[in-house]
Amino acid sequence: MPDAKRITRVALKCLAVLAGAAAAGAVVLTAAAVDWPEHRAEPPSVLVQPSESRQLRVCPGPLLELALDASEADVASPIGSAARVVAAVPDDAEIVESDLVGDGTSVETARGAVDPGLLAAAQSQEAGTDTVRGLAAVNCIEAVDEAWLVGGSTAVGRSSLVLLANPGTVASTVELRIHGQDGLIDAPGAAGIVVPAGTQQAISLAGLAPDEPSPVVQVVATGAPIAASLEQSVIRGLAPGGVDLVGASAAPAARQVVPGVAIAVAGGVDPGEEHATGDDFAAVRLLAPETDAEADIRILGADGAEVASFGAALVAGEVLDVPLGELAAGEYTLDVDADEPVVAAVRVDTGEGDERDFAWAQAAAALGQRQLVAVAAEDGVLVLANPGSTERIATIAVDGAEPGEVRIAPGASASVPVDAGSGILLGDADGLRAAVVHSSAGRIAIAAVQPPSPLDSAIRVYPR
Amino acid sequence: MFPGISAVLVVRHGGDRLQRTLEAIAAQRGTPSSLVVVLLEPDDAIREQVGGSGASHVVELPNAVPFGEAVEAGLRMLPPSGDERAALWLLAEDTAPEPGVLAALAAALETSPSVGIAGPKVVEWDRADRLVSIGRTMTRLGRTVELVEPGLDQGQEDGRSDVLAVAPAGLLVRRAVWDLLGGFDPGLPQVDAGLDLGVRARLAGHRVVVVPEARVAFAGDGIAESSASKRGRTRRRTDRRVRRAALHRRLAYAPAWAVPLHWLAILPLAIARSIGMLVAKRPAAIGGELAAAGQALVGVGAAVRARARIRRTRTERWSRLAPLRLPPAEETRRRQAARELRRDRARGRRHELHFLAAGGGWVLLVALLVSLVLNWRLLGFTGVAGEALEPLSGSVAELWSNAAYGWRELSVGFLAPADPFAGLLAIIGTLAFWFPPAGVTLVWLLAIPAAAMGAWMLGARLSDRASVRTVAATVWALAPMFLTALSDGRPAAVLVHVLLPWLAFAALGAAGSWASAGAAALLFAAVIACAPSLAPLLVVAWLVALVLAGRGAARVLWMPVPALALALPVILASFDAGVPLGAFADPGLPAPGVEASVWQLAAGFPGGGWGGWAEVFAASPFDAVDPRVLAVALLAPLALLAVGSLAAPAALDGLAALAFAGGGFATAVAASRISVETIGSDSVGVWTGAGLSAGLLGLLVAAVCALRALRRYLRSPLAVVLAATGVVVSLPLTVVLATGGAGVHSADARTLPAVVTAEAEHDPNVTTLLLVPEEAGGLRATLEHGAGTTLDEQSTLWYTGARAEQTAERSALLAEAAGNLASRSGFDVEAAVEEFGVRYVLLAASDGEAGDEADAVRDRATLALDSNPDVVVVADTAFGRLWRVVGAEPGEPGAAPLAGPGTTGLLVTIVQLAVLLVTLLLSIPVGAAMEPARERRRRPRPPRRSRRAIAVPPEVEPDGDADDATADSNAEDAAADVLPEAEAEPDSESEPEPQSESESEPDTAPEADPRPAPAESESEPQPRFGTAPAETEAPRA
Repeated sequence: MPDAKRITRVALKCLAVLAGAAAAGAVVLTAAAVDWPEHRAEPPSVLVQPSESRQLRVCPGPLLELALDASEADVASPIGSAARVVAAVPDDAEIVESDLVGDGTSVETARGAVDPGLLAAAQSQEAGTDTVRGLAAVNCIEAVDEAWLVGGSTAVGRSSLVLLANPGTVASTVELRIHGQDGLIDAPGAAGIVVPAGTQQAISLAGLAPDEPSPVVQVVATGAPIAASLEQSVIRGLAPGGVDLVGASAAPAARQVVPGVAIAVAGGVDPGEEHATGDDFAAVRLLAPETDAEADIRILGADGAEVASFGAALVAGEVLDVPLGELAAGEYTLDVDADEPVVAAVRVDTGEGDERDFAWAQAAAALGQRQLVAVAAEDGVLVLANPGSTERIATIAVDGAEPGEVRIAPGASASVPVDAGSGILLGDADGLRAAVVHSSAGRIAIAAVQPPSPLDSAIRVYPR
Repeated sequence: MFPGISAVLVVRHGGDRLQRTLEAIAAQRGTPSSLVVVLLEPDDAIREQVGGSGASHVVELPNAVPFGEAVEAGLRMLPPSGDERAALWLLAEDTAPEPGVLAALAAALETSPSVGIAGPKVVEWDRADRLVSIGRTMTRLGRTVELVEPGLDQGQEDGRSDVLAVAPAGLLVRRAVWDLLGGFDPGLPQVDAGLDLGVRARLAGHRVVVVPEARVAFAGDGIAESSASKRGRTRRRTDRRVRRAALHRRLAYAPAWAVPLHWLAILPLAIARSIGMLVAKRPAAIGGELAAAGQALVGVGAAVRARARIRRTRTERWSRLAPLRLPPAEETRRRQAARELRRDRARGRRHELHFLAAGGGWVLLVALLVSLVLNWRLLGFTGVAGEALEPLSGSVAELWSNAAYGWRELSVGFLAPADPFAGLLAIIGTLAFWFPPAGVTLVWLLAIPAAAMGAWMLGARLSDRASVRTVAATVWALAPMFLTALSDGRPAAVLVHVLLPWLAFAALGAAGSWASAGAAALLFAAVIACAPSLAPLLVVAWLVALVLAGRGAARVLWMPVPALALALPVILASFDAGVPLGAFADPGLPAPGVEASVWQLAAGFPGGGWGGWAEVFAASPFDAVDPRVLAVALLAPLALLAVGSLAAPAALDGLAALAFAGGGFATAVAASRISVETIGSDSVGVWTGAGLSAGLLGLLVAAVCALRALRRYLRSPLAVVLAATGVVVSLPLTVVLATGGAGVHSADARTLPAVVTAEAEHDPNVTTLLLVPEEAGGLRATLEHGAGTTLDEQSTLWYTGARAEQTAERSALLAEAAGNLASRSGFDVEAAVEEFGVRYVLLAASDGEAGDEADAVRDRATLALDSNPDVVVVADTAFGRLWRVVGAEPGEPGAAPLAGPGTTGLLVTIVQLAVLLVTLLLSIPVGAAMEPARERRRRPRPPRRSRRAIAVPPEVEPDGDADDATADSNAEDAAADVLPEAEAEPDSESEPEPQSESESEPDTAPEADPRPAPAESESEPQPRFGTAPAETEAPRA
């Protein structure tokens, strides 16, 4: 019967199509459902440790004093001499100390003698002249292409000197970009400053930005890196009101941590105070260099508890000094959290009295795994702040002794008394911030510990 | 009774033929005075058969010696005869004389004393009216030819008498002449012995005549002469013997001074003739040609002896032979006739595409327009830039040297075989010879038309319907994986998509023709060169085709050989280095992409997107719609039609296509799980688009199979739906391409700042250290030589790490130099300069996508380099900031190659070139007309007797095309029925020897033939169709 045959054939075809469709569906579903094994080639890479880098620190040398003679107002002359402490790991590393022309000393190791961060130098000087008195202690710094000096003032009675040291072998051309309360200051003499090799120059800030109570100086060097620092001295009325040396602050970043804000005497001015004038109270200096920024400032106690907090609206390029409010005596950590990169530093003052001093606490950059700290002055306290969110255990070894452990809760800071002349090796310190605080009656100095330049850190290279 | 006439009968096999011969001898009017039977390797049956035959002498020889030697052995039984009339009648078991033959031959000798040899007219064993030989002669150049071409005998040649020579079987020779000449030349054991005997008799002053009224039936069993069988192996052997004999005679007959020249010419001639055989699509004959040449080279001794024999007996001048040779005019006429015959036959079996009639022209025009609309931005620029694109080398010579084994100037440089892809790039660059880098632009402009044409041609193989072909072209040319590759800038993936349908087109004909097989082999190599990930799928498909090919297996067998020859060095290097999967790496510049999900792959979108649909939805009110829904909707018509092919008449075709599609999908899924290359900090996955292209090809073929089986009222709307969905699914991609939103864009043909390229123009050794900040932090550090790395210089072996060992030391040194340059360091830049000849350092500019980590690294490196006294800033360029190394001198030694290709490299290159050349010669369609017809004639259809016949009910089959595809894809076994071996060439242009008609094809070998009784068709060549040539119908004028 042909019909039956035909029906069979059609049925078979339908069956074939259905089977085909089912098989196709099954293939796709299986492919999607099964977690097939993977083969992924690993990109080969080499972690390159920059070889034989020559570690170098520059100490600014003795405090300078501008000539009182108005005809030579730009000529600075040294007063006394500064004590210098140099430490290195290993401690037998060969170290060459050479004085620069016009004050300042470069401290240098041979190529590859020490790892980055394991050469430290610090200097301190206590001045007591008619115009300059107080303690100035600073950690000697690296020469860099770009540095931010957050501090200083050229208001009446304040003198500020920018010290530019070129420890290199070629001349450097420096441009100082001075930001003030009203934005970038147009200073014709601030560009094209030639610093010959092996010299240090002192530039009076008053000549470039007169009557600026809140300057922030961006030092941009081309040709050779520059170690830049700032000396500020204050005369209140006729009495000297203190002196300080300001090292480089941490580069602009959305988050800045200022450790070691030592309040010697309780007091202060409320952050909301619109008309706070003068510089005899603790205040934070903030600058957002490129773009407007909203900054949240938190003041954290040594135990990590938030003591106070306030916000600040920053206009791009305009420096803002914000009082920290009334604070009890003690050591605090300032945590600045902004939505755009900012630089920050805190000014503290010992307050009313015959013997009076002030200091700038700079924002410190995150430390590396190991960091050596030199202590030059007496009454020193090493402050280790933990801005992270987990508890940290760092090790501290003094002058090659057996390391001890320090526990630091999140947001808290630890204070370790240190002796003058010692070298302190911090271990497991990555991410922590450190400063050495010297504070006693009428004298104060805060030296932020800056990690070695990232240019010294290892870099991963993919050779394919 | 003829006194003095002794018959010598050489017996080898016995049986019916011997019986008929013995009876024929006995039935002679007048029998020879003695009958000597020489038995070669006899068994008892033969002895018994011969025993009752009345033989006067029986000689048994234990070996199967040549005819001449057997005759001599028989003659030793006879007493020397002083009788002037004594003569020898030479017979073999397969030469049955008609009753009056001996009388006629004897009469010829008797009536004319000057006649030394008299030969009969030789006819076919079973058909006395079909002539085999009526005398033989030579052309002017010494080639043996039959005096009259074999064919139907109607007595038209019976007027002949004096000839140059006769066939050895059945000839009657005076005993005195035989003794004088010393019998047959031992140097001609199987072929040309009779010709040579005649020549020497003529030179000794005796006449040779043919006696047309004496007819001998001859079976050609290979006793008196080499077997006339057309079976492959026997035919190849005969070919070799013919050639060997020709060379032997050439050395024996030539003037003494010319002999060394002839000897020296043997090898070059053999090679030249081999190439000719390739072009003529007879590769199987090459072995015999070369073997014969080798034997002739070695066998000079036999030729020397033959010369001595001629010198001893020659009394006449060679010029006396001239009138007996084949007249040149006749030679020309025969050649023309043969050519015409071939042409007639070829015309009949050309695949009629009806290119213009079926709308191919319109499709091409539209595809060109679409390509222009999508790529108009590329016009007028020298280069194309994209993810995986780099310029090509500036000179054709450089392109080709980069395609060979040798020093690769990639980063630190290393010695390695070239990727097969480099060969393809060399071809592309050569096509744009005026400015090779423009080749890439050409590829981009012509890709869509070429892909459309490939699919259209493939459609034409499968169907006669213009609509079906157009649908195939539309869907294929606008396929999402193709447009993704075009818009990303992936040249290898673009080429795969363009080449795949052409490969399928050629492969479907491969079993039937050497030209198609050669083209398919080249395309196979090209596709695998572009996408090694397709190799497993294609190899499996090839194996299946091989099994199904039956008689065409030899042609199909060759298909992957060029691909293997090109890829093997890379494969071996990958295995050697312990990264076997590296052989699957995509060639060219690795371009990291996003891993595609299985669903995206199933929808045909490679590269981890939905072909732009996700973005379209996100911008529309339907942003909640899962793009999968749309993908399913747009893919459904194609998928349903493809599966529907299982219900179509040629269901096996559909099944095969669907299986191929599944294989393509599996390849894509596997590719998405594998990454073998790394560039910088990225691990680069195998491109999934190639597998998807293969998958789409399978689906499309299946859909075409389904469409062609439908009636018109169903087919047309379905075709429209299929084409429409094919266009719509790629709409976002086409819009992106046309509006310039794609990754591919026009650019100048350089990758380095103008400062460097300008210097490279007069100093190609200038080396630039390129530092690229990576997304994951860190730097990629490579060396760029001259005007920058080019696409043809790229090597997968570098990116898979197969050359890691060779370059470890220099790579480490480079990494150290780069790391230190990006740091403040006391590193001695001089060292790097000396090792690598670095003259510039380029820190790549940000592309805006690399992220903060990369920016931090870039800042750091900028800082470090700016303050490094050993380098000075040159400029901030579009490619990044450029520094010049202060201490670098021009022409630093490190920039030059450290090693040449060496012997291994040369050997590899030579083998690769040889394989490609052979394939190329095979693929030249010039020889197609010389090939024996393999394809079935489409109309009129003969009664089916093939197994396939049931597959296609005639009522649905629109025409013969469907069946053609069946025959093609199913291995041509049906086509082979049609073709008895007798259809082989009578002659060929490049190989003008009559024996060459016995062209040997492996597929005609009986052992390869599963069907019973092939001998029937062989001994009985029946022309079945008009175009099939029959021997008798050779045109006469």
